[in-house]
Amino acid sequence: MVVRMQRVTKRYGDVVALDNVDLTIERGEIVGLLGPNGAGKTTTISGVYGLTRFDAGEVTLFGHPAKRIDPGIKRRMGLVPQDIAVFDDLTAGENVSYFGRLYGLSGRALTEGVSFALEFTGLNERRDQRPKSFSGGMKRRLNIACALAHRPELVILDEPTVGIDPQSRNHILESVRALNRDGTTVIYTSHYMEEVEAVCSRVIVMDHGRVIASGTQSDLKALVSDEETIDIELERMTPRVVEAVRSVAGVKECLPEGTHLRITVERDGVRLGRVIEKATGLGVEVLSAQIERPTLESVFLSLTGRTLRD
Amino acid sequence: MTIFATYVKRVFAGPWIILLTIVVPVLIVLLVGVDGGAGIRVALFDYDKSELSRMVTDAVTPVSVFVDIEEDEIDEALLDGRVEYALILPQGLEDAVLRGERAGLRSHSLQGVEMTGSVRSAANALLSTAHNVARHVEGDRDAFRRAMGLVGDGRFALQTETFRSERAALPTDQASGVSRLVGLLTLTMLAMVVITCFIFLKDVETGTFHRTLAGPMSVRRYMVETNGAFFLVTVLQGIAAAIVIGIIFPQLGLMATLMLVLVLAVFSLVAVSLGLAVANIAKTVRRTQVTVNFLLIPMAMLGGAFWPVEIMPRFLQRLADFTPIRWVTSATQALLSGAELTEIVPHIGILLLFAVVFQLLGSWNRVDIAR
Ligand SMILES: Nc1ncnc2c1ncn2[C@@H]1O[C@H](COP(=O)(O)OP(=O)(O)O)[C@@H](O)[C@H]1O
Ligand SMILES: [Mg+2]
Repeated sequence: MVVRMQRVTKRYGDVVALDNVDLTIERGEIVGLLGPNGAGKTTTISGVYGLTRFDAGEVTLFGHPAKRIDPGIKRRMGLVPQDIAVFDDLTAGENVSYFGRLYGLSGRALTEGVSFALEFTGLNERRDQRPKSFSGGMKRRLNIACALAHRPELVILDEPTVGIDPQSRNHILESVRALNRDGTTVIYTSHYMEEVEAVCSRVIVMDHGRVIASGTQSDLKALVSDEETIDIELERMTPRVVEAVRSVAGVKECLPEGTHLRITVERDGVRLGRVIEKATGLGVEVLSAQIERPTLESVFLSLTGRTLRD
Repeated sequence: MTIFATYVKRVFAGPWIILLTIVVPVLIVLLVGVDGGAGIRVALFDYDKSELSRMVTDAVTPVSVFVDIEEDEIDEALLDGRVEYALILPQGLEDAVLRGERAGLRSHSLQGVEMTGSVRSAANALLSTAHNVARHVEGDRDAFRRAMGLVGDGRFALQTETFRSERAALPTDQASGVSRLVGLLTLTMLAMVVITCFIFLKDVETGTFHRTLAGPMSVRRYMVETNGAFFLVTVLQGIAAAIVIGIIFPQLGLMATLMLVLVLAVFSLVAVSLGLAVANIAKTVRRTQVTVNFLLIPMAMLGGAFWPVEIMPRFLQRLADFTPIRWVTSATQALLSGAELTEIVPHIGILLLFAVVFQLLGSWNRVDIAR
């Protein structure tokens, strides 16, 4: 177990930033911490990193109580802060090198670590330039590179893609997956559910300082509903087609709407191919077909009654 | 040493650094150094127009630059610095000396400014010789003038140096220049501090300060390394300045130069601590600028960086004791007039006390920022 939080509570005056939070993170996972602004994501990971003192509860890191995080344990972690924090009077290379040395690298290990981090974030060509001349996406990538030179076992990224172009965003998401493939445990914080859906093996949904749900993506979606909707568009609508589709095992409901058929089925219970076969078997061509599954957005909506962007 | 090395590099990489550590100090040395060597600005009023008064005038000429003013302007001219010393040779001076009366010269200078001693002692030495001669000639003006003529020819040596000026490291006129020089150098050192302040605050603003402290390093270690880096830069500046002064004024000697190095090194510590205190209290670059304008610059004025503290009113002089620059300038004056190391220990002690207080103000609350 890399991280374990038990009944952690944190207050800022009257604001309860964390309310009895329990969570565990296993080696090799990519865990998404999903929640709207103010949900308590940053407070949670600050606690994991030993930067925040809690009012109650316990945190253990790599099996050690977080109250006594020694430098040795710190060096096994890398934190990418939510707000870009790099020196703008140092070059990209110098920035990464500074943090590499801070985390205990020197000599050959330092040179290699810096090259790895810059290469990894696609900044190698820019290593001698200062971040002043960088685009938002490049600054974000440098922000990440600064946490990677020392090859941490646990990387914590706090909203690493805020305010950047889609290309840089994809680059970052791909990098996170690559890091994980190499065995790094990742905590990925975001209020963009598409990102969490794209990279995370497990998701922890937070709101108002509480963990409101956690599990794999399909676990969470199962929470919302055990049904899916299939929408197919037909060349023409006939009563026999409706009957035939209705007779497919697992189909609960089948409603014609013009040339569209809206079919409610058990989750993962019906193959789309079976439905299409039925229609074409009766000589009716299928023009398009779509499965509507619940998204994390709809999970959040159904759990809180609000959308993530509220 | 990561933080130490990086900060030193960053300070030296800044565009202002060459200006501040080399150009400005050298300019100051050139301007003030040359001016300081020219002699003491003396207003001399000879109402006696006698042989004796002419000899007094000759005696002070080598150490003086004469300034032409009216007698009723003396106070004003002393205050605004046009004149450093006013010497009045009253009518009947020679007659009084011949009669054996202890006729004195009247002189005006700002109380406490000891840099005018060479003029004073030259005039007094001549006068006391005149008194001695007068005792022997028993009123014979011709004999008196003949004897005094021999003195003027150098046949009798004049005892012109007082005990204090005998051990002085520099002639007093040059000492006044050097002391003004040091005052101005403290200013460039303070400017360096403002720069370090800005670097530190920029780190708070960019978040790199917090990010650094989030790493596996203790707050204490961070403070020691940043302090060390800023101190190194400032102390190099101070030492370089002291060495340049030592080269320009070789008469200063090794000991006094080393003492100057020591004083400026201790002041570097004060300056850096002050910078951290200002940064910690002001918290933003903008507010630091305000603090510099309304606190640091008045403090430098009060402390004697621009002009001697002694020309200020009494109560301001008391107030000046609460500024660190005051103790740098007075330690400098002391060591220029030949003080031993032990005599400037109190100054150094007080400077160290300032450093401790500023360090406390600088670290107070800092740990909270880290949280
Ligand atoms: N230093 C702080 N002082 C006061 N309130 C804070 C502080 N940090 C966070 N909060 C509050 O705690 C709650 C959780 O904040 P945060 O963890 O930053 O949320 P998130 O990262 O999910 O956007 C918010 O209501 C926020 O206003
Ligand atoms: Mg946040």
